[in-house]
Amino acid sequence: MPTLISPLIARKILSLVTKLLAKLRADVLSALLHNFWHLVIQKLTVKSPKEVISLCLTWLALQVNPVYADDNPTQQHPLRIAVAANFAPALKVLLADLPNKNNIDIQVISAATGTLYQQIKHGAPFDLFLSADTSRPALLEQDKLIIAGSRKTYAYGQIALWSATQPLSSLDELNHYSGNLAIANPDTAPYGKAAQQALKHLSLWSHVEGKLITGININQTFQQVRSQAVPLGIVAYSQLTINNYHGVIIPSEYYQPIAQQLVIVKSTPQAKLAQTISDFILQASSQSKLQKLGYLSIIPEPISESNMDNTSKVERQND
Amino acid sequence: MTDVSADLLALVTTLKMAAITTVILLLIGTPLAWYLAKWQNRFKVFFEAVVALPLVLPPTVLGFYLLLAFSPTSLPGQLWQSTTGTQLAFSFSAIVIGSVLYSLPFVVQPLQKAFEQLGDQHLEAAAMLGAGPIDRFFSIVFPLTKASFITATALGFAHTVGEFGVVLMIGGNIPGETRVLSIALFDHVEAFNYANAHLLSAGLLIASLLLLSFVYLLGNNVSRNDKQQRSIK
Repeated sequence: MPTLISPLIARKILSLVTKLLAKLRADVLSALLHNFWHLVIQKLTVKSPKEVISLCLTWLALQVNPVYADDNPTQQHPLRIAVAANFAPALKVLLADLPNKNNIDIQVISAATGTLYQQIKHGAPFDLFLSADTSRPALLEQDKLIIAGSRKTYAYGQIALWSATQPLSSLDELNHYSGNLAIANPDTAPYGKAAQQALKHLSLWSHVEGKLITGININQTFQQVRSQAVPLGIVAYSQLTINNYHGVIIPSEYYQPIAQQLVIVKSTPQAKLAQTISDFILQASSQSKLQKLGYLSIIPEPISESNMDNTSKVERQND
Repeated sequence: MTDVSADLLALVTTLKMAAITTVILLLIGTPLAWYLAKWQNRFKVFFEAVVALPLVLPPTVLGFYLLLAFSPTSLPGQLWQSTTGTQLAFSFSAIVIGSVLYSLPFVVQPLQKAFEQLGDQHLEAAAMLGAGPIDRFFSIVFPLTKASFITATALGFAHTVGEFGVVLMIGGNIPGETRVLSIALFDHVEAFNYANAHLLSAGLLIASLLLLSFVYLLGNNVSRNDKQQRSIK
């Protein structure tokens, strides 16, 4: 996006205004402060209406004046991690084991991936962004808003068939199921797209297509099944593990991997710390914890697993 | 940070935002309401519509345009940055500006109605006796419209506390800075923390009810006193 005003001209005009304001502010502020204490001494028994105004103005000046405001640029803010809503609980579990965590001030901010992407595009002061997909990090990379080379896949999502009303034993139950089926919108949500691919792989797509309830995202789909509004649904496996529910995992070779990528935002004042956290999430011990939280690790599992599984992991690495 | 202390921080941020917004609104809303009440012009309807716009406009529309305006690449965003040295989008100042615009009709409309009902004879008499405009306002207008000022203050404050769409778009959900109660509540629901969500919702519900009851109680008392004074006279 081209800049609308030359920064040089803006700075010249505004330095003039700022100087004027600064000059005014010093005088006005001291006068206002004087009035303020005057009022406090009188135990806030306001006598003249002018004093009410000056009290309000003093207070406003103290709040809005950048010298006193919280958003002082020289003050280092905490490391802000913007995370896709589906990964927020898992991230909190991981960060609990961060070495030295008591010395690092971290804020976790979760929202929909699309929302966070828009906010970063418009200058949100985030340091690290954990997306639920690969496309938004790639877009940020195209826009040159991230530190070069920081875009990494940190986890793969898994999907599972789940019902809040009855225990399921296998995917076969879908064959003779005739009710509504909840999935996330395949056109917009990665978990929905995976559900669609899995259903097509099972040759069940035409069987269920007319009875699909498509949630705006995987959280809504989970809510729909949990509230029993829809008897059966395909949700994120991590949602089940975190909430202690049991469903049937859909084998990962039935759908394209749901890769989730992270990036370090270019404007971060704490690139080194952001890199440390990124490395921490990608390291083997964190990745093995992710598996218990319902995600697939980015690190290929040992060869003891079935061959089929390994081939799918290799493909995933090439993604 | 535990969930409870995070929610307390959101409460503090919310109260701070609502208090600052209300003071700013009273300062700019009072003269605005006065001019709208006393001004006779065919363009008046248009300005009234502009003030009332946030009543019908989806907050996300306002939030979207403000986000574009506050962005570091836009003109207002750049002016702010070069004046204050801080970024406007996703700052506390941004959500205060958003709230001022969003809650404007809740302060201006009660005041405008009160000013319209005010007769001119007292003001003219005071002017003849040599009272200046500020004196006239505080000695005559303010005491006569006190109830409306209380309503305007409470509505402006309460509406700003309940602010959601605008803050969601331009706030960025930053703890201690732009994460207000409604956003924290939204977060809890998204994360399935229903216990925390219930706590915040019930808290907001009770607080709103108490605030409104207080306003009506105060409003009743004030108008009753007024009637008594008038009947004594």
